[in-house]
Amino acid sequence: MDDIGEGFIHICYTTEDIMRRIGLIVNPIAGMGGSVGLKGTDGEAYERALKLGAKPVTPRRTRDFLYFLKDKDEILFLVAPGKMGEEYVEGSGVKYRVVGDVGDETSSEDTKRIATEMLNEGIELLVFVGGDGTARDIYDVVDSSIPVIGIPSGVKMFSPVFATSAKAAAWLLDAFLEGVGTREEDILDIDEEAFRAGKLAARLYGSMLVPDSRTLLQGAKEASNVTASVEEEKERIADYVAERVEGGVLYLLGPGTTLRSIARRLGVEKTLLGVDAVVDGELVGADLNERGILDLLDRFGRAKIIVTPIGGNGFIFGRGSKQFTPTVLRRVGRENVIVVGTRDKIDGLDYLRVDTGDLDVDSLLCGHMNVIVGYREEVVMEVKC
Amino acid sequence: MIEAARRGLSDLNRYPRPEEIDQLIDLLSDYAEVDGEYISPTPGSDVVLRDVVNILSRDRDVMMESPAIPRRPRPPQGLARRLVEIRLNPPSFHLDNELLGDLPKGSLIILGNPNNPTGGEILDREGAELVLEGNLLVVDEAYHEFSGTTLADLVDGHPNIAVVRTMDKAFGLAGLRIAYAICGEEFKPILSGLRSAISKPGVYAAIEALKDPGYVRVNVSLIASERERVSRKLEELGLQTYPSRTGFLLVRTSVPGIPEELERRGVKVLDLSDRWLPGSFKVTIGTPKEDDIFLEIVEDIVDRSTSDG
Repeated sequence: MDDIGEGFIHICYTTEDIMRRIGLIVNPIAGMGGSVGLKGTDGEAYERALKLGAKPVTPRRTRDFLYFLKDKDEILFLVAPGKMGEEYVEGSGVKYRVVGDVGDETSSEDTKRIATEMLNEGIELLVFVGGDGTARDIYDVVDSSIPVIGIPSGVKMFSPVFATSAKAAAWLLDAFLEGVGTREEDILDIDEEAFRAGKLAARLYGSMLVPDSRTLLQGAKEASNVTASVEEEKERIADYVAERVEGGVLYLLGPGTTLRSIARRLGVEKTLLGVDAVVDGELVGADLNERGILDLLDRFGRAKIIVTPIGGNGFIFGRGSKQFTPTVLRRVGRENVIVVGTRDKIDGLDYLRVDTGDLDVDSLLCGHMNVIVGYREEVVMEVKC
Repeated sequence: MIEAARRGLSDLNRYPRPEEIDQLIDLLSDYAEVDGEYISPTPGSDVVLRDVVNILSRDRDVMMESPAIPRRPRPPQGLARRLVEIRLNPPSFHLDNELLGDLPKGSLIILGNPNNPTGGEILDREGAELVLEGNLLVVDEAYHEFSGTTLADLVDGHPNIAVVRTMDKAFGLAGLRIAYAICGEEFKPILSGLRSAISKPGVYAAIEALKDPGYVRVNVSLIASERERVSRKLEELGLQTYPSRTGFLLVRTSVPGIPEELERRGVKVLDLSDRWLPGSFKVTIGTPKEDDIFLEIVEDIVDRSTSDG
């Protein structure tokens, strides 16, 4: 070491120290059920998928992601071992280091353990390849501590934390490295057993941070005058809803981050997953069940329900927020239902859907409804039942 | 036409003469089969839509279909009462006439017919007449020559309709930006002034093109038959296509990554997955040779996807 003189502290930086640390975890069995007609590979379905001749689909997704990545030289990937990551980055031209160890058969416990180790190693962002089940495993460990990018390769990816494709995921990571902000996106809990039986049961599981490069993604596709980030969009939706709020009316707010923005605009803090009630800027009920809602309807009379559809399938009632029962919906009335949603969620839906379990109530809700997507901006959508 | 455009370059220090614009209007009147008093030539159809939105959206509900490509001009923040997009639904993407009849009166309604990117007609005569009861209606007929239908004749008796057409597509004059509006009295004060913004080479080329529009019919017929060939082949490969009355196709597939792989191999399609229906993209019909390259790549991706499981 050269003598650099008294009074100076000599710090040795290794190449690794100045590189951006990004975690990469691959769920090697995600997506295998699709080709053999199973909806997901949770639990015993994986064994059945193998017996039916399913082949892994994650390698190509992972390699596509690495191929389209622009800032490869800047990144040190901390990757899970073997088929959970290492196998696909080898020879791809990216710098990487393996974290943790796994046996021959991998499980969600491996995902969680390795994600924890990566967090301890100081990753800035975690890329995962998989489906909704993988997203929930990652959420259990990461929560909102760092942003994530999901590369879709499961059978069903209803959670909006997923990029639209492996290429879009690469763009998102590039955008993150260039310094774009983050936004919250939902993690959905889909019951795979029910899904295999032809029923789509989903509820909100939580939310994670993702890079917010919506403008960049859209700008690459077409000239657009939409420049708002998704978080700004939620604020604008909240402003518009707040502008129309009537005094003395009970507002029942469904689950979701958009509803949380509205609650904040109305001056209250709401539960993320529950139904909360607000009157004249005061929280009069939190995490309500049907009984609690009916009691409030008795007390206040006039009421409005504000909900956001579930991303990916568009359900506004009957899946997700079961608290809005047919009885509650009859009492409140169709004309008092306000639907809200950010553009990226609404743009990905062909219809809104209802399945309350009461055919009469479903048919009351059918037809067209306006969805508030911004300040004084609405989309007319058909409601299917 | 190229020769005509060159003639227009000979005295670039001059605006087009009024009689040249009048000649263009006469030819457009013959071509569109409407009285010349309704016709306003304009420099591109997007300019028409922008001016209409900027001037007529004050304190109105502004409504358009969704999706619509290219993205329509939006009213400046705070000018319109509301911006309302009406979502088109597969498989027909047609607007529901009952819904059109129930729209709030006094609105400015802008619709593409046929719609881009679905390729289908979304508005029929009955729907248009319902909309015209108490609203301003602008119909973008950019693909009129492909669809063979029009609502332009409604201008006779409806001062509140404007039909906008372009010479970009079927006439193949995209580089000159010549469009025209067939519009009633309520739009005329806004649109008639745009005629002076057209370039002289543009006016000359458009006049030449309209003198013998037979080549347009031949072009359109060739593209339409090629479009059907591409559509059939895509369907054989297991991709879904929708009936198109334009020069492009809307395609939907459950095979992931097709737009990306096409791009990687030098073929650009418009991926609509991240702003509309998952697995959907729009492909513009090219020459048979170009389309064969596109189809070969798609077939290869589908084959690989099947063998990958």
